[in-house]
Amino acid sequence: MTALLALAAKDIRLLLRNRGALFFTIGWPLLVAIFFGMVFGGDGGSSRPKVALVVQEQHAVTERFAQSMLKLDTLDVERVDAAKAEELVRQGKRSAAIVLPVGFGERSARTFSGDPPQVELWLDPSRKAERAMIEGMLMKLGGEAMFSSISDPAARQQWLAASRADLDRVDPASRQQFSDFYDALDAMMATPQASAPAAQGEAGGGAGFTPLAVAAREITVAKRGPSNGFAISFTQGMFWALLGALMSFVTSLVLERMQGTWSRLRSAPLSAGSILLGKALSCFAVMIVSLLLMSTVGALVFGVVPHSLPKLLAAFVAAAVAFTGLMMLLASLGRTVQTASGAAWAVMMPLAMVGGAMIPLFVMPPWMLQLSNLSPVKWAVIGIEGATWRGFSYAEMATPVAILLATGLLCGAAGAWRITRQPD
Amino acid sequence: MLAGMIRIDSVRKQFGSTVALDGLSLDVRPGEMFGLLGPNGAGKSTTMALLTGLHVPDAGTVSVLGGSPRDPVLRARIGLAPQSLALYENLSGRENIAFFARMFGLHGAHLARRVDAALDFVQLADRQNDRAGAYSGGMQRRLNLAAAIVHEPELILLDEPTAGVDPQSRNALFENVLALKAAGRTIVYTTHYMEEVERLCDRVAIVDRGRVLAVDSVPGLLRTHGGAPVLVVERGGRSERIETTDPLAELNRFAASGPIDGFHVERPRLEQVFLHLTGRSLRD
Repeated sequence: MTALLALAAKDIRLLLRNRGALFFTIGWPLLVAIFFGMVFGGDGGSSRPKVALVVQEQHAVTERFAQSMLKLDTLDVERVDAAKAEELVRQGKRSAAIVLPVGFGERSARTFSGDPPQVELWLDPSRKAERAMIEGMLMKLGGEAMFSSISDPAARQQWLAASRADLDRVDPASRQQFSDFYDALDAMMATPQASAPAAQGEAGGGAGFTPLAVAAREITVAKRGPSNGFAISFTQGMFWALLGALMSFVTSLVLERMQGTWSRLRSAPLSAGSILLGKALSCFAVMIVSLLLMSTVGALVFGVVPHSLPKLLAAFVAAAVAFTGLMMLLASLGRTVQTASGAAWAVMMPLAMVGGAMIPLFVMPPWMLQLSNLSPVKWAVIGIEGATWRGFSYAEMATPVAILLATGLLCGAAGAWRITRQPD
Repeated sequence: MLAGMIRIDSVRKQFGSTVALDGLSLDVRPGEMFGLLGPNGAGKSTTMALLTGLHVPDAGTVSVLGGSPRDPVLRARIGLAPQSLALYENLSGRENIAFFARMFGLHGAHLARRVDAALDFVQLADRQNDRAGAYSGGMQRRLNLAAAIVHEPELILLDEPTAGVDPQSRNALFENVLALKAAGRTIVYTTHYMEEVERLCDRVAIVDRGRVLAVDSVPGLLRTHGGAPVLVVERGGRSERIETTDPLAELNRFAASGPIDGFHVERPRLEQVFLHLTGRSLRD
């Protein structure tokens, strides 16, 4: 075991000292991911959550609220009908839908006397961060809307009339206090200082006062689309990370034989299998670290957040096993670096082309999708995308993971068998 | 003879249509330095590969340290310095030696002590933290030797250890090898440089085309296969060469026939032995 770990540590150390190989294993895939993420449209030029807006009534207050929503800098709002909004959320194309229901405008005119105006928020339960942000924005808008309605003389008179008309619905003990409050508010708002725009930022901030009530409705995303262009490009970048590590280790394995270190290792009390296992272990470790690094950058900087971390780790492990096995098989195809790396490129490029690492799977014609089933690259892409934005269940993840593991074990065994039978 | 350190009996090894070893037999005694002398392609490296268990003979038997060279326990007692520089250029000298020591099961303080000792032995302690790729050819050869001896093997196999080395580094390597011999190690030394086996080896096997043509000490080989000394006489701007068993009598005969400008006697060398045994020069 000590020898195995020493073998793996040696290869990792050698890779870390080979700047070229390190760049093509980590740096290049990251550049590819970022570049093509931008080419694919990135996140549409904005990192704002995309939301759908549904307005279910014709009311001046509601319309004003809707217009102020459409002008928000912090949300990317598109006005659609209810059916379309639900579909967009279900498909994962919008983070949420904000619904201004019938009665929203009317309730806005009775802020103190009745229930606060209600807004419906339709969203996937997993989108907790977006929910908090959207609710915060709605509260702010609600406060601003209320302030706006009492600072505009005509609107204020309308609002006060409605509120006074509702006094009989207020608790008799408080009725006089509310009446006095409306009078005082009317008198205060008539002064020029009170209607100054600077006061708007304070609106809705009063303790215990809620300008809006948000009712959430959960819509589970059936099959998500990529959240942005980086979700596609980072998966493809991960393929390049796997390929970079594969090529590095194909070269290093062939170099061991060419430079005589293989003979020296074989003269030690180690089996050929142990030496190859050490090589495979280091290759696997480098691949996993590269994938984790890429996914971390993707999540923190480019918003490519996996929907399930355990599933993503399973996809990473399976992909790394598959590519490690391929590395072993490809290293057995040549006795020189030129022939082995030539063979590796010749095999990997077609697998990448049909496997979705160059052309996204979802834009492939049907015949190409059929062909792509033969490529382990496709299953690596599917597995990673399944855990990132396709929203795969564990059962759905089982297929790519199983295919990748089987590919890795079969190719690894075949490669090891060939290498140990070649003359030193 | 059966108690030898190495016993190779009628071994045949073929790679495709190429016969590398064709009935080769050898015995190496404990504590001796045994030379394998032959041109490139004679089968020296294949013999080394058999001794470390890297190859299995197609026919015949190989016994090392009393057992099979494929036995891991026995392999731990063998040290190999391959013909190629079997080092990692991007690791430091020390990292290389420590890595190979770990492969032979060394660890902890013992490993550190042995790495220090091996680097001191080949006089690379002061450059131990430099990348092996930055070493000169001679230093890399010495590091190659250090990697072979770090685990204190009883049997050391040196495959062309001075290939591509300048004379100064070659002398340093000779000193290292002689020190190992003085420490009682059994050494098998392959080379195609005759002066190396003449200087270093107790016994020499002359190998060609996968067969051992002769085995003896250097004086024994010269006596048996080297022919007579050659008297070279310079007279009147010409050189005359006479093979003779009595150079002094022959010189007197020359002197009696007229004045001579100079003379010297060429003793038989392994070159003549090889020529005599194979009908061609070692450098052909």
